[in-house]
Amino acid sequence: MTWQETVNFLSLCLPRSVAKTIAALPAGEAREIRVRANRPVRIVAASGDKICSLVATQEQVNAIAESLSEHALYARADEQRHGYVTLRGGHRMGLCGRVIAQGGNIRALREISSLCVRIAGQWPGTADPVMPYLLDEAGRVRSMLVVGLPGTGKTTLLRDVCRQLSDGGLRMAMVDERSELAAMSRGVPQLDVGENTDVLDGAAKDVGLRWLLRGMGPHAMVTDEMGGMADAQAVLEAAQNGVGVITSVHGGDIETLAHRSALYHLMQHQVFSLYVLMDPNSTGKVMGVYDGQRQLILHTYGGNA
Amino acid sequence: MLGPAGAFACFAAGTGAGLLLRNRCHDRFHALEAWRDALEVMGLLLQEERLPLGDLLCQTAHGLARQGAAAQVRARLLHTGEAILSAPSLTLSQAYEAAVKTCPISGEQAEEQGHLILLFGQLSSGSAAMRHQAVMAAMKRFGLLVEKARSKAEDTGKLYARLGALGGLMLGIALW
Repeated sequence: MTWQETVNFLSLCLPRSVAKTIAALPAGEAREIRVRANRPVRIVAASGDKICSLVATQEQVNAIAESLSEHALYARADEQRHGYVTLRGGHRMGLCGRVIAQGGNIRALREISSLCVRIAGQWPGTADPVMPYLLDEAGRVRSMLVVGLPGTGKTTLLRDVCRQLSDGGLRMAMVDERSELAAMSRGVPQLDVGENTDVLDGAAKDVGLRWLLRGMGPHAMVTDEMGGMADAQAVLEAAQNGVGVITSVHGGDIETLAHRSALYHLMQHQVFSLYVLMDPNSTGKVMGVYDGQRQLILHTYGGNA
Repeated sequence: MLGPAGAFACFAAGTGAGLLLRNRCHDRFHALEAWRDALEVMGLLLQEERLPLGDLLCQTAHGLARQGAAAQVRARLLHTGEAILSAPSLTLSQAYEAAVKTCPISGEQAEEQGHLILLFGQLSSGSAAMRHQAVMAAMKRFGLLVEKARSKAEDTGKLYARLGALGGLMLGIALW
């Protein structure tokens, strides 16, 4: 989805005054849209927050959430339980409201009181710093772990890595559990993930990685936000089958990764040959590239080595 | 006065009027049948798939026949579905009301119109299970309406046809 297509989509779903504010910003400037009941709508932009004239009631917040999800909120109960829903174009809509819980588990979300739309962007070239290190001497894709805080561009980097490898002729496969990497819509990726990429949309990572490994014969697989041991086991199986896995994890540094049992398990098996740390002070900037032993091998942008 | 040709014309007009009234009874019956079929498809899609509402309505429409009353129901569902797909800020109720004006259905009466307005309001709130329940309840209501309409179409329709023919015959004889 291009920026203009994103603006067109948001214009259809949002109140006119908010859509006009976004359309008036330079391309790519708007990062987030925050709507809260009985508070002015805010557009978080690279140049600072823009306050809109619209003060949304709770009913309007609910209606905006329905409209942005294209009247599919009811069908996305599983995603809602995780606190957000992925919109067309790969944008993420976080939701707050009244939680209906049962036995400690979240069953449903009602009376939506605020929402935050994080606008996805496609930034070709984000992966340029890491591309020279991704292929080994035999031309195989190395397994890579991207580490970064929320909002630092991990998903953007993964998408660009996939695109570049795919357009370079490698068979890529993607497990897009939350429809954020490829933003599939009616079977067509809304974001460019490459000419030679197969996307499994909506599948859990552990199931999806095995599915793609068995059925699609990829050179490498890409998935976002690796979680627990089930995900780690699937990644290990792929690596042991000679298929590179490129994935990401939340974190602020490389050193403390080993404290997490799932990642420790993978480090023990030396699955990842590359680690990439994203710059916490910007979006889409690589701060450092590390080898399999977590030694810095490459330049940094911003931050300290 | 009118002679044989005029008498025959009266008979034909009376029969035609009777058949028109009979067809109106049948129109309503066929429309209700088509809605019942549409609700069955919709209920299945709600249960098996997790579609955005616009897609749900369009796919329900694609499951209906393309002729007769089913085609009219199909057109209204498609109009509603495509409206919210192209303008997500519309509520389902608003989209449906616009479709009612644009896509009339022969023989439709206020009773089923009320049920449908209620259903399209219920379809835009609550969980998937609640919406499925709303469709099932509507199917039950339409099932009863279909039976009543079938009975009326058969009995009253025949009566209208016969009365029309008889009335036309009597008028023709009187004016011969």
